[in-house]
Amino acid sequence: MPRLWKIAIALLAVLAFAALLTFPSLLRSVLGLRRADRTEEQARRAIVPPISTPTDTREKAQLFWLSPTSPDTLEPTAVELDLSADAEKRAKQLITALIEKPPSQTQRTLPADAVLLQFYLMSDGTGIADFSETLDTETPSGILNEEMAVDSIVRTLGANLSNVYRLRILIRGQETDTLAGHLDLSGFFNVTPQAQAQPAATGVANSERPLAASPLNASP
Amino acid sequence: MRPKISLFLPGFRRKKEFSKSEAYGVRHLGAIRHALYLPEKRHIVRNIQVSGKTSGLIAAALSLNPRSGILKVMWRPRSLVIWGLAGMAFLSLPVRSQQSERIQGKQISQLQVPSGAQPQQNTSPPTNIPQIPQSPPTEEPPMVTVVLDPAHGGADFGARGPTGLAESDVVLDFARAARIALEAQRLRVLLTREGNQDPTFDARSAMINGLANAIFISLHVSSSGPVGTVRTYYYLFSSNVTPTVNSAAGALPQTAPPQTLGAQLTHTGLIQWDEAQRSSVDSSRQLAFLIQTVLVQRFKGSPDAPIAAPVRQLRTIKAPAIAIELSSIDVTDAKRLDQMAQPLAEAIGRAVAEFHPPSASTTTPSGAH
Repeated sequence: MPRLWKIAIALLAVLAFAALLTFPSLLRSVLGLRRADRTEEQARRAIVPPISTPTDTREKAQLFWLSPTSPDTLEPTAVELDLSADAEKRAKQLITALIEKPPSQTQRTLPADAVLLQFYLMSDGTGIADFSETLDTETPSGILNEEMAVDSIVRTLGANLSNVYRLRILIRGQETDTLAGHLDLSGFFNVTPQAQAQPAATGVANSERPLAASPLNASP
Repeated sequence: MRPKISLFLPGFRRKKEFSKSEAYGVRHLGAIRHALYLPEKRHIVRNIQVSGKTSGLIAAALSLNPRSGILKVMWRPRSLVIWGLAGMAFLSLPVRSQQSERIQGKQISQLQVPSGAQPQQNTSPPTNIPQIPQSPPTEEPPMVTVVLDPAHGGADFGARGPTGLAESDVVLDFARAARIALEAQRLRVLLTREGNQDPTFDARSAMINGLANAIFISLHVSSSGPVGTVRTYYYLFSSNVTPTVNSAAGALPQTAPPQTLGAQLTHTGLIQWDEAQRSSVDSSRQLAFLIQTVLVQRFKGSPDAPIAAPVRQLRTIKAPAIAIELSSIDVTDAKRLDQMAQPLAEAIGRAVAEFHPPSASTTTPSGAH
């Protein structure tokens, strides 16, 4: 074997050995970075205090997710939740459950990483839901997807709260033009309270759907 | 500002930018893109984005390797002559009788659409958009202008498919197909973007708000939903319902709805920009019903009726305005979407032919403010 080949092989062997030595630390670094990415949103969740109040009682709530058979319509699902008597806390519990407890991933209307940072209820029945920016960035783009996202919130609030009449959606405390490029978030959305009247109706076809998501007024 | 060319290549999330040393000013990117248009590689060719001001009559020579998808940018002064001749030949070709109108529309869009890709954040009415010169009144009824709006564009791809298919590209194809169908009916057609630009919501609205007797059709593709179905949307403002609620302290007094700026401006004959669609809600609904009725015959499984939803783009348009969204970009074979282009174009053409927009007197471009 020529001497040059021997030197090359020896060099390669040294390099391979060095690579083997450094590989575990490299792997640790990569995994650490991945973990850091993943936990960024989880860390934000941790900042948000757990939503439980002394007045919590176990109740059956109607939550609206995508229909498993018809993915362009919403369907109510009865879910047992600990719900507060306080309307603000109750709304927060409901929307958080909407994010965290879809029956399946295909029925999800809101991004899994979205966080409801705060929910405020004004004395005139105006609810203000303040979400993390992941609602904006992770909601699939499209009129249908965005409409389903907002409609699921509006209908869930309407089905389980009697004193929320309209909803405003903010992203990290800021007014936002659109949800993910299509749906207008500059105004309010009508909420039709049904909690005291009757249980939520069964799935309604798109064409028959009442206008739940429509800004009342562009100017607040 | 240094001119640069950015490429969005399949498989790369980040754009590749070429500096001035590699790329020289391109004044007529649309012509170059058209010349380079290769159907089988369109996703590569169309994703060229140019930003920055260019100076002088310098043209760039772009050479595309169809196999690797690598686009080389070279400095070739002689290409100026080639592109100039090609452009002149292209513009003078008697393709259709409406060619001159299309060129006029292109000029208008180039005037109004910002050259750089900008995020759609600007909600204030644009102030630097020149007014479109109005044709002098004639005795003949004014020609209907259809403004087709391929949504998104530029850095905003819209929905993305599993194979990297971008909504912004698909809707541009749909708009081009619809333009042919509409021009065959001797209608004047404008596109809010001819290439990979990303005009703001307000810039797109400004294109039509300066026109009389026009209708606006925004084209979209959803991220998900039953493939092969189509939905038509129109904007519906709900009444100014003032919420009242019985609090623990007792019933609150019902506050009167606040008088909006829009209501105040109505007295002066002006229309508030942010709610310009209010004046055309009924005609938009009528147009949406017509189109959805035709679409449901061609795309089985679509809803029978249009949907009222607050689609942002429609709110600032002072004319009949609808959005059409096809499902969905979530296909592995792009042909499934391509196959929808022609039926969609025909449906739009048929519905527009049946639609009678409000007379020009009611849509005189007084301008939204």
